Amino acid sequence: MSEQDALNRAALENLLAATGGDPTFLAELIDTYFEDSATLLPTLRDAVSTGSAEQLRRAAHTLKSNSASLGAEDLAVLCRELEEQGRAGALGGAAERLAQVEAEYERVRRALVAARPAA
Amino acid sequence: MSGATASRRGQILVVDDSRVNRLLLARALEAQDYVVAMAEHGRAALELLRAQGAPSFDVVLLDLLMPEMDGYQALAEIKADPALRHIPVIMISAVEELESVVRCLELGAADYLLKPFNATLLRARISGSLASKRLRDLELEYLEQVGRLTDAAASVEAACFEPETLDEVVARRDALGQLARVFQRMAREVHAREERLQRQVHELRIEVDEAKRAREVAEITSTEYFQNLQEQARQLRSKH
Repeated sequence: MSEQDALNRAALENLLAATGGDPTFLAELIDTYFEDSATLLPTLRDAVSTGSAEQLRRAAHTLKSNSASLGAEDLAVLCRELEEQGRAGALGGAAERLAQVEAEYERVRRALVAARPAA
Repeated sequence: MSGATASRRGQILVVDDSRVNRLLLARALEAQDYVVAMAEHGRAALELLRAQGAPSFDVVLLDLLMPEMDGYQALAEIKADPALRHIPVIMISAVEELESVVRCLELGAADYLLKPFNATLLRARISGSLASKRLRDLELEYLEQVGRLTDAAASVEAACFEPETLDEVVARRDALGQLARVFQRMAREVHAREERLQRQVHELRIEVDEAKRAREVAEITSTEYFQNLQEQARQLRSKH
């Protein structure tokens, strides 16, 4: 799948239209997403390595919500699966799923960098 | 945007621990001319809602999963607080479970929206909540002004009525305003009549007092002792 497929472009365009069509705002939003993800991904890694189900649930929930808002639908689905594991307190296979999340995040990141309006 | 426009469109409090979601919601609402304030969890939201001189919020958009105080707790506190419970709370969450939706509605949420939000749906739900909030505000104002009218009736009975206390109710264009206008006019007439009567009573009292004094003088001057004194005085004056 290409980097462009990591994002639902229609969702991103709807988002831009709903927020007044300001490209500067979209750039700010993407930057904020990167900043938050830079905290959330290490939190997920920490939760998986320490077996903290609640921590996993919360961080996966927020990354899911943020990603879905920006049209990163596949990443949102993977995060949702991690969130469910956290909610159920069943962390078997969470490390493998986290690796999938990280790989998908990298594709999303590249797609967003490409979609980010220039300053 | 002018202050008048802002107050007409409404003030909305967005509560979400995710900066991305706060930014998105705030910008989407500002694009529709709403005035937006933000809080990052339930506790911060309650502090804002209860702060002295805080703006009067028309709608709260509340996320569910947050640190410090989650959306369930914040919703329960808002609905348990007599000063806040009338503010419509719309839950906006990525939690899709039916049990969560039901729990929020049972706690008193006006609505439940899923993230990522649909801008048209969000606009419609906020408009609906604002309309019911304004209806409630009007009802509260009406009841408060009915209270002023009954207080005024009690003041008339206690003879301490001040007609100006009804000026705001009198300005209404509805039946309550008409009732207040008639009441105020009648109370003013009664008050004026009372003042007139009091003046007349006062004048009569003066006349009575003067008549009484004249009668007392007459009683004294008509006695034999007084007549003798007058005669003696006259004789003394004629000798000199």
